[in-house]
Amino acid sequence: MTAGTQQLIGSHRPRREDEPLLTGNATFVADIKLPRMVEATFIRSPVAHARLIGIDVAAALDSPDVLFAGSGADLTGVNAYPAHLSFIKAVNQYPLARDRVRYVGSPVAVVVAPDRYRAEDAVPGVIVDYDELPAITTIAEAIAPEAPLLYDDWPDNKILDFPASDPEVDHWMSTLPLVKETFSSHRQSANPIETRGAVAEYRNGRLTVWSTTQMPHIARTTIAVVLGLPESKVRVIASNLGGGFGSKNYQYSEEMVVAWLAMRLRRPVRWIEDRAEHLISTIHAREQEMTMEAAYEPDGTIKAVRCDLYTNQGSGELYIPGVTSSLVSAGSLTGAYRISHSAVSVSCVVTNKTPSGAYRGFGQPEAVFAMERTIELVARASGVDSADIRKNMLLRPEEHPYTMPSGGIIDSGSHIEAFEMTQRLAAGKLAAARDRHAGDATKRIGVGYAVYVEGTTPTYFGTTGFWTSYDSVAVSVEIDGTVSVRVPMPAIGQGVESLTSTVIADTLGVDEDKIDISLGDTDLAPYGLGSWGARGAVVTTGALVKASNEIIEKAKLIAAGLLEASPVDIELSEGKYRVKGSPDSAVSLAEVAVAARANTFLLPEGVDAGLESTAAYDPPDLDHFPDSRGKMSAAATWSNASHAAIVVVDLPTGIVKVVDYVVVHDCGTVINPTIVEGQIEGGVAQGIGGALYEHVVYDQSGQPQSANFSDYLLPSAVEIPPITTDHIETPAPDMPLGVKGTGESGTIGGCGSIANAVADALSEFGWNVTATPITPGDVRGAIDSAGGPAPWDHAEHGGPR
Amino acid sequence: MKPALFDYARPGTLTEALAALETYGDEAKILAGGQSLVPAMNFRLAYPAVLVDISQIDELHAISAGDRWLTIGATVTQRELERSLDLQSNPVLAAALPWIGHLQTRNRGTVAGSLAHADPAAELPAAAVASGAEIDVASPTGTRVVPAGDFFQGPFTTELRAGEIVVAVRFPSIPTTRGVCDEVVRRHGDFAIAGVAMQAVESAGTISDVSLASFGIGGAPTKLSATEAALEGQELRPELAAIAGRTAAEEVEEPWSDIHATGDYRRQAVGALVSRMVAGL
Amino acid sequence: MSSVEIHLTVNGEQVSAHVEPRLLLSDFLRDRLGLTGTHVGCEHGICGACTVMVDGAAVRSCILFAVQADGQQVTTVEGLAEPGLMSPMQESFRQSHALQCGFCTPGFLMTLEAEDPEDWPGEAGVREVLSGNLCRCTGYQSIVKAVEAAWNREDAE
Repeated sequence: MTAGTQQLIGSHRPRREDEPLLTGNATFVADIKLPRMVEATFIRSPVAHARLIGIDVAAALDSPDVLFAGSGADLTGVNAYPAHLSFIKAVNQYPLARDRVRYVGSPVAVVVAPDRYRAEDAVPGVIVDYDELPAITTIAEAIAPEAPLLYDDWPDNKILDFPASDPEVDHWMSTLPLVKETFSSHRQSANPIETRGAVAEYRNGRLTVWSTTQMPHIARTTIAVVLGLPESKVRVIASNLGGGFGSKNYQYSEEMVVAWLAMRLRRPVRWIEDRAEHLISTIHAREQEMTMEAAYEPDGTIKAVRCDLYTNQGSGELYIPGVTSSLVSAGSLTGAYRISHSAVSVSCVVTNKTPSGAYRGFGQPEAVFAMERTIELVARASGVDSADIRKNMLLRPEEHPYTMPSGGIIDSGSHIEAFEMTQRLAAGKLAAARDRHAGDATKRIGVGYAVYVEGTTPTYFGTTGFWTSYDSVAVSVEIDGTVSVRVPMPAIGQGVESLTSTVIADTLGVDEDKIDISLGDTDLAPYGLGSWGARGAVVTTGALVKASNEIIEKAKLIAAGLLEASPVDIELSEGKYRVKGSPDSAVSLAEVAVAARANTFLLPEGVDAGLESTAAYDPPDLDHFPDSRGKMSAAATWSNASHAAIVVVDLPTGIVKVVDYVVVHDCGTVINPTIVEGQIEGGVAQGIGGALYEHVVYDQSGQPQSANFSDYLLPSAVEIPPITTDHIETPAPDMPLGVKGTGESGTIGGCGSIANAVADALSEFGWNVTATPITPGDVRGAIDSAGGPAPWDHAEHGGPR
Repeated sequence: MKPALFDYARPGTLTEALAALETYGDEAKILAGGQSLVPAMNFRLAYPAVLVDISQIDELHAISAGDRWLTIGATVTQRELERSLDLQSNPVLAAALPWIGHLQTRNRGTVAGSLAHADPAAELPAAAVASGAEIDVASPTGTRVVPAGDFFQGPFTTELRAGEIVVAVRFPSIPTTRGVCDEVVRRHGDFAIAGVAMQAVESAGTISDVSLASFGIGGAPTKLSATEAALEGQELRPELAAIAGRTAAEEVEEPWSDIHATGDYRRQAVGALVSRMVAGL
Repeated sequence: MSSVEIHLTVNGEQVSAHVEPRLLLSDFLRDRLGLTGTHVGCEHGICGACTVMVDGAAVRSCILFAVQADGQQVTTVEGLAEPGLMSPMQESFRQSHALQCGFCTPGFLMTLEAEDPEDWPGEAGVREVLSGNLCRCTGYQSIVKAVEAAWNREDAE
């Protein structure tokens, strides 16, 4: 693609969106200020499971500051969220709980006052009568025979139940030796530094909602359905988010209520989630148990895998449904390993916890943890080195495209090369760590690996009623030759503005300072499905290239007319349209635009006025439904990566520190390497946070125990080590510009590599790490169980490995 | 998370502050740094009707190093003390300060405020107990001195009576002692899961006047008296660390459990810390 | 009293206002003065997104009342450079890709503005000075690089 040829693609470049962010001039939702704006705050259930008997707002309404106080019953004209998926049980959720609450934090009522201070003053005036019901919090409790039901019209507590079996798998399980183990991934929370929020205004028959949603158009469609409005009368603006990581994918209750209040009060209404709310009412993720069985050959290669996968879905009161990460977990389990048969049963169970959904990695971190630990167990059982097992099982370049047992098609990849590079880089880091701690009897050093593929650009799989994966952009060339680009995707930190600028500059040959980009405004941009699934680079690039090519084709026709040449003789070179072989015979894009927009008498026969394009890109080779065997190719392309974590374990205290981290990554063509590295580094930090520090904890009665930042521990710059990244570029054969996308990758290898590293460091104690997070107490427990040295007996600790 | 309404007084002198406390009684709370109080107020876990801001009372703002005492006025911040050359007169205090929170909280949080707040996982109360600090307390009827060992009575509970203000804390001026503070924390700057503050005199390879206070494991900072006895007058030799560590772990009483660590882990951690600190002498 | 009169300097300008004692400095700056560059992330003094300078010291504006800043000099991210310009540290952040979503960034910048590099030696020192500001996007590596570049430490390793 040499078109305009500024050759910006592939170069390390600072981002164009940074200056407003650095100077405090960027606009986030909490910065929106409108005349007469008032503020809402929500009353949330303090109990995990209860019938709602009554809500009395009289005392709240007594206050002169309160403009509105009400509950679900007061939300006239509001519909339940749609239920699009036939294969999950219906939840029939309304924006405010109507008769039942199923988790602490569930919103049941709302008050509105001139500001948040006074709204909170009114909260004690809302009296809610709860009739408490028994609460269940664990997967085991949810599936127990006489378990209390969260939904009385369901036969059990399973929102999704996909049993799987395969006679081939059964055959290998009965003929080859097995390892079997249950791996537990723990509940985590994405915690972007910006919480959720919405500002809604209803004016002259139109509703505008400024939102923190990662999917502006889906939000628009949902608001229209839930509030019973024509979609053409709804505008959602989500231009600039302070992070999302999947947690802002959902169309939460509060946004619907805020929109309804704006219509009811005829004043702009604002709600900004505070962190205390966020920790209990924005989705959680990753709480999953995977019982793995792997049948292996004498050389350690795994022939077949069976897995029973259970996800703790929380209450399930979530739109869009949160179950798809479990399906991705199942579908990506065998990864880039040549494992020809797998049977993964998936059950998503509901419990009295905050609803669970997408968090960067989307089920893949949990699967990689289970698979990479399983490989280590097979290594132990077979006596074959795990690195050799990996290399024997990883797909070779010539085996692509490769169809996984789940139906996913890995289009290309550099799996073995990435793993070997990682080993080389990690060896140096490991040696350095051993040197630093040489002679210290209290330390143990270890290295652990995780090798995986990441399916990107996935299908929407109907969760929103959309069975597709397209995205669109609108590109317009103005009379002066400058370019306006309208992209439906919001900025969430992923650099979409810079990506857009780079691609347009390169394709059209326009200077970047002549390109204006608007993001996430449904009045300006054509329909898009949002920023998630590491899809941004692929689908936005695809749509931009398509739109640009349409403009270029039309420009060539117009230029041909202006230059009195034949269109086939016109080429685009360095932004100018010129006659091949006659470089002086050229016109600029501005000259073409003048003809197209102002002096249309200059247009050739059959060419209409205008110089713009709205284009949609739908990734090829993507299934939106499973086939009769339940197999589907749900991701358009697959990136691959290899991680190595180097850890130091302090035996006396059990403290684990990740001291170095290596990622070798292949996401095909890279548009901006700096941005890709940043995405990986951020993901690695979340992976480390998950493996060692972050844990959403509940007690047995469903009360949150980690609902502030002293208890939910996000890692700082001291906890996160230097991260070494290296790249391989295996272009995606069928993707625009060969781009595969990234964004989630850094998290995917975290728990797997760190668990393996800790097991390696403590191998003399024989600890089989099967659960995360790995706490100091867990480490001390493993040492004590193995009869290891007491915390104070330094002399007994032996030397560092 | 916005605080409830309150009235605000900002007295310019100690006398005015005491008068304000007398007027408002238990409706009033002192505001110095606010680094513990204001978060609690934002959660509406604390909702005093009146805040008496003492931060502008000049007479409370001095640090002075004398022959006997390093005197730290009530409104001196942890950061000011950290940067003061006078800090070297009390090594265990100097050892404790860098562990406290983050620079941003040390910029506002006061030394005296940390003692008056008496968070069981805080470093300064333990350093005060280990070092034999004294707390000067003023009331409308006069001043009194409370030894640190008597000041802390339980989690978030001190010996302060209604209407009293801490006006200064005095740490002994003992620059030649050894002072060590060590903690087990999940992240840099966190409150301690378990911690120990130690002060000792070291001379010719022997330690004496050993004082150890544990924190983070239960209520008030607790002297590890059996461990002190086991170390008193001992020659520093390799086995001593393990003996001290085991003794410390065994003498810990009822360490508590929470989501971060079990009581058993805390007990072990105290042993690990003492062992490490003694080995490092 | 329901309202207190305060006088302070914000980014070099004299400001007078009547405020409720409970109004947090973060809300005062954002809502009363329209300086929305200071962001609110947790309101309990841990994430550091709200960091500003008060009398030259980096503090968490979400756990400080506006009345406590009476008579003091407050600097926010908007005060780091003249409009249209960027400070050397801001420029270094841009060059090093030390921000992604940008929400935590003003807090980091204000902490760094207040601190003396001499107090934070080595990479360990840089990571420690950053440890009171949380970022969820970058993994900190690029922020460390930006600081080292701005503090002229790139060659030291």
